[in-house]
Amino acid sequence: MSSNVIERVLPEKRALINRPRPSDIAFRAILNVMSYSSLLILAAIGGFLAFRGFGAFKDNGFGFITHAEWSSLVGDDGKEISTFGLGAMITGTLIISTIALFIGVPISVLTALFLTFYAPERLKRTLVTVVDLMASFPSILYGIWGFIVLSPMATYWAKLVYKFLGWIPFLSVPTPAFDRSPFLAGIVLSIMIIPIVTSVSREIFAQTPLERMQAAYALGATRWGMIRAVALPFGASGVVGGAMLGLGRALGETVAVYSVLNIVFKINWHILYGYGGNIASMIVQKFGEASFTEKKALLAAGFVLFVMTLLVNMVANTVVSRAVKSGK
Amino acid sequence: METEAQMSTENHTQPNSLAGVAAARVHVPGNAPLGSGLEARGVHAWFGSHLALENVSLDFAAGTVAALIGPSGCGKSTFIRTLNRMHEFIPSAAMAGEVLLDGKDIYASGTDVTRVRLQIGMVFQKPNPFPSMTIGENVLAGLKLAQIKYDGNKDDLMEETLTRAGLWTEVKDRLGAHAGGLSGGQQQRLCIARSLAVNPKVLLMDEPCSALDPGSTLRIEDTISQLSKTMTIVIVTHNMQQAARVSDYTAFFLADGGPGQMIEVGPTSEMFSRPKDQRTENYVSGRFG
Amino acid sequence: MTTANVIANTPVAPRKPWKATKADYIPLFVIFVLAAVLDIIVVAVTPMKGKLAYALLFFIFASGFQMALKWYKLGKRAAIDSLAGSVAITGAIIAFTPVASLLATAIVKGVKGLYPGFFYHDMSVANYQSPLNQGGVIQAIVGTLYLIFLSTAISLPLSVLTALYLTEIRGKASGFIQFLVQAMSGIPSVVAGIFIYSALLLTTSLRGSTIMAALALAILMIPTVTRTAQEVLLLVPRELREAGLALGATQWKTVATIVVPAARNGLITAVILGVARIAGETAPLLFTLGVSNKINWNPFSGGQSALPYYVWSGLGDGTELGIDRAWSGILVLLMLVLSLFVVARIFGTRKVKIK
Repeated sequence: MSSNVIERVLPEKRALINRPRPSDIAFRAILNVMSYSSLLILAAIGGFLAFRGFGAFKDNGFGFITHAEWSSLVGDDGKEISTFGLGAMITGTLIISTIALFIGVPISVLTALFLTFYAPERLKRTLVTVVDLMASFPSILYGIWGFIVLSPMATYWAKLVYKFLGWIPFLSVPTPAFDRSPFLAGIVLSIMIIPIVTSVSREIFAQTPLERMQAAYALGATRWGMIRAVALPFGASGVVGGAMLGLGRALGETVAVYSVLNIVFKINWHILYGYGGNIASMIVQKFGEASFTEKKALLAAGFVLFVMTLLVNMVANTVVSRAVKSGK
Repeated sequence: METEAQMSTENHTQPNSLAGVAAARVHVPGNAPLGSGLEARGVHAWFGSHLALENVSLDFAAGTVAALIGPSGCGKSTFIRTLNRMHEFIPSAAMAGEVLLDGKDIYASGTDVTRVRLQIGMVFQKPNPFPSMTIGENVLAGLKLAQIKYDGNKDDLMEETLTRAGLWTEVKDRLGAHAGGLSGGQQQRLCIARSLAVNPKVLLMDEPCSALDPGSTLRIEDTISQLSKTMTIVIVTHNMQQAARVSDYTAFFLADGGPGQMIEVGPTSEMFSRPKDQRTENYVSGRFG
Repeated sequence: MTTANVIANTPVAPRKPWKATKADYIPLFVIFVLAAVLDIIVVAVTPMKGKLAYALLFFIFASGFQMALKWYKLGKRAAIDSLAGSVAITGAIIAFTPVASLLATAIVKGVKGLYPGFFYHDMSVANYQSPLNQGGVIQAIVGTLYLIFLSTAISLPLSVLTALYLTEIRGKASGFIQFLVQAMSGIPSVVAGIFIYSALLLTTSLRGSTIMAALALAILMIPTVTRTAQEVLLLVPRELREAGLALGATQWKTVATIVVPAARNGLITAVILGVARIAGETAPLLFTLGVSNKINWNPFSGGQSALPYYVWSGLGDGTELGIDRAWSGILVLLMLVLSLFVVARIFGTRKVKIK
């Protein structure tokens, strides 16, 4: 049979059968199950905290989040009257975290730029090690150092800021009490987030495409010109991700804040004025002497904190991994 | 234009051993108003302790196109990067010799490197427009980076450089679009326009077409011919046909197990038809490379 | 037509004409001296005072002079570049100064309370206000080590198995699991503590003990160990696995006898990093550990001490002696964390061992 078109007849594809040995079946099953442990743990944390704290949510409704009063009294009839509202502590958490980002992120970005584009190789390696070292310092060290060493300096700086900028509403103070303010807590937190924001930023800047840097230099750019035209646009999203990771860290910081801040459960917008709090430190402060009901409310507060940090970290991780991958 | 070629024409064939070192000078008086052009004298280049380029002397007269050819690894890219002080970005790099622009050594101490690079521009093998900028912003990027106050009309400058680069008709309606949306050939022409906007005296091109399709390649070769009327161009290429098409002078580089050297230089037509050195002949006729 | 000149082969010396020579550093030195002098003068004359004033003025003068010099020599472009450089360097200095202060303060203040007995006495014979040559931290040290041991025992299997799942099996859920592990690394330590409390201590008759705290710490340890373990397992070359499978070994045998031993150093690093993460954690202990002023060998009942808790109590005590003790405790804790760090570095630089 001749035809103008030669047909290709391909054989049927053979099924590739791989029957794993029983030991391998068991192996894979074990690994499979074990890896879900992280899901289990996360679910358990959220579950237990919500479950135990449910009463507080039910009794206070949405006011649990927004209401700014937290009190638990025993009335005349021996029964407990309690109002639990996280408003003050959520605000406080956000305020000191914002201060921490405001101070810490610019310094971290400058440090990352310095390490990537200015520092000679040997110095860079030493300093990178130092940054990793900073990340491993216990938070209670920051707490005690903040309390003993930084506090007097921060009070002095607060007075200076008040002197020159006190006309701005949130920088004014009702009375000149500058000690142990959200400002101090924010500074301590900013120091604590420097390692992580610097590390992430540095890793991103180190990936700046060489050809783009060369293009800038070949056009007669100075080092700063290149950084502005190439490195910063390239690294912007990664830096944002790093800042969010720093935020996640700052939101949940407990002992450092507890050590330096005067914990009072009222909303305080005057960051130079000496009181404030965040959810984590509130839980620590109140837990010791809390009644059963109050304990459950504190667990509910912990649940709120858990959800906050989880969301921030999830978004941060997505942003960072996308920035690293896309290599815009 | 080459009526007063004042060159002594000694035929000197390179002995087979590389023990001796040869320096060759080609001087062609070009367009006098463009200045005396670019001259490399005794340029050596090291990476750490490894000598990659040995004793290259070339005089690129204004208004000419010179092609540097040779097999890969022969040092031609290293050489071209010594011409605009890009070689020094590699941490282990070192050099010797001089590179003179208008008679002044660009490696002299106290020289403003950024100014040198404004006068000696470079187009790279892989097109590298700035993706965070629009097409129009890319063209003017050089001005912005150098903080040059441009007295004239910036739109006119954009049109002029894009026209010279052969890209104007294709992008004139979308100067505000992002540069990343262009094809490879268009991106490369954009890079050429970008380099032109700062008005360099010399344009170095490091294998500018090797990442592009043949159609874009021919467009760019067209551009090169047009550009050479007003500036000096040095182009590294591994495509001999390209060298034959665009250049006035060709220099052949070779690293025969040792450091890269320039074996021979001459007018392009002669280099390809009657090369003086056997190795040049071998390379040009395709026996290796 | 060429002119060829043969130049004798004289050796030519490599130069780096772009590198700054010693002469280039002289203006910088002069600027620094000038800035310092001006600094002192200005501080003496104006009402500005304090470390902040000195630092700020020095920065302004030094970067200002440098800018002016560059402007004069090379123009506006170079001046701005120099300013940017000054700002970047200053940013880095600001970032690293606290580290120096943290370490210096811990050493200076902590050394006071260190005496040989510090390391083998416990706090049952003294309290925080006792003079510094009484009592000690042996119970805290043992407690911390005990916690480290138990947390590692709990978290290591889970972490390594999860990492193995992610690198060896790479099933469909890998992306999800990866995401979860990363999410876990963001759990605040206080949340881990109150979780264990809410699950195991709130409504039961159980009381704080070492095992409870170890569970809380394990939650914090797992993400770190998993992530690092995953990195080092990925470093093991594919060829090793293929060699094992090509020899007819099952996957689990390949993993157990080839892959894991090859990554042994890296896995040790992973554990050490995890331990360093939790060794200094205070908040979880406050909810799960109970209290004790001497060593408690029973992990299931009775409180325990730990170094971070020792520091916490000293700080909370508020008296001068109490705080001194806290510093000494911090110093011991720092020494522990730093040695872990150094050991991790040593093992880390030899991450994959191919025998």
